[in-house]
Amino acid sequence: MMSCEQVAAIVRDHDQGTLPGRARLGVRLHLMMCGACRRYLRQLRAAMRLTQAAAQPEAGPSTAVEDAALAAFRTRRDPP
Amino acid sequence: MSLVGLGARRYTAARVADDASPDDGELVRRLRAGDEAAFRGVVRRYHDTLRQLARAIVRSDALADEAIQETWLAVVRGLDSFEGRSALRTWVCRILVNRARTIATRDRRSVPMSALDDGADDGAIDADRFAAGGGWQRPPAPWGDEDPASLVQRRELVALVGELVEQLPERQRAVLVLRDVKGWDAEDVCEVLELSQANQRVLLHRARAQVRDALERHLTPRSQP
Repeated sequence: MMSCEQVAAIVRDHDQGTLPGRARLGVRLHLMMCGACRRYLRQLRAAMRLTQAAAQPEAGPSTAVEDAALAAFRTRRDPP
Repeated sequence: MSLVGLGARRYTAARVADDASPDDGELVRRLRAGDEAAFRGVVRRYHDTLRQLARAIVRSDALADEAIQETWLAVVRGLDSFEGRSALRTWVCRILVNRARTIATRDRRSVPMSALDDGADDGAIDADRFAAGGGWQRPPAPWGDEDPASLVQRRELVALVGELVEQLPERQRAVLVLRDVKGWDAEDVCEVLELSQANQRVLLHRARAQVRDALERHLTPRSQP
């Protein structure tokens, strides 16, 4: 029988698809019986979703960055 | 059999691999041939990943931009020697990490303690929450609302998580951003940050646990001693 601590470590991995079948079954059985671990899993998922939301993507490189990169690229093509 | 049926819907990375390129070989060929449009496309597509990675390492947007500019110069210079053993994205990100670290060292004049002790050790995570037998000693407290879709609508929570992520040690933040924001797989993250699989996992777990802990402190203030 897996302990809550072991199950918590596994659900933090999130990608349980890589678990061997028997371990996956063990986690599943544990979660069916343990409300605290189910809550931990739910809250972790929410935390990950919020992490994504908090990382505001920037529209794109600033003109300065893009211009400098392109200028360098052109010197490669047309050596001065 | 999956765990998915239990509890919330399976998490999926919303912006998975928005920096991925469909065909590196063809792209590299066009870059070497001097195709400016292809280069501009790469500069734009990788930008957000580079910026997020750089901001994990340097402490201002200006320094991040500096690291990104230097990266593109190095990419242009190195294109002919790029052997395609790793993906183009991985190669570019490795250059960025090296540039950003150099800039960060110059900026701080010394290596801060946080870089040396950033939780990549094997110590247990949330050890104080579990009793000796491995059962919960301090089980996760209910948040009232635990639905990701509705929590994500609350600006104060998004801001809280944003601030927490900014304060994470460099490698924890970098791993978290690449895995959970950019949807990279563990192998690529290990290559870019030069981490073992085990260290990558510990850093990721620590970072995820800390985000959850911060939310717990905010959403169940009375549960804390």
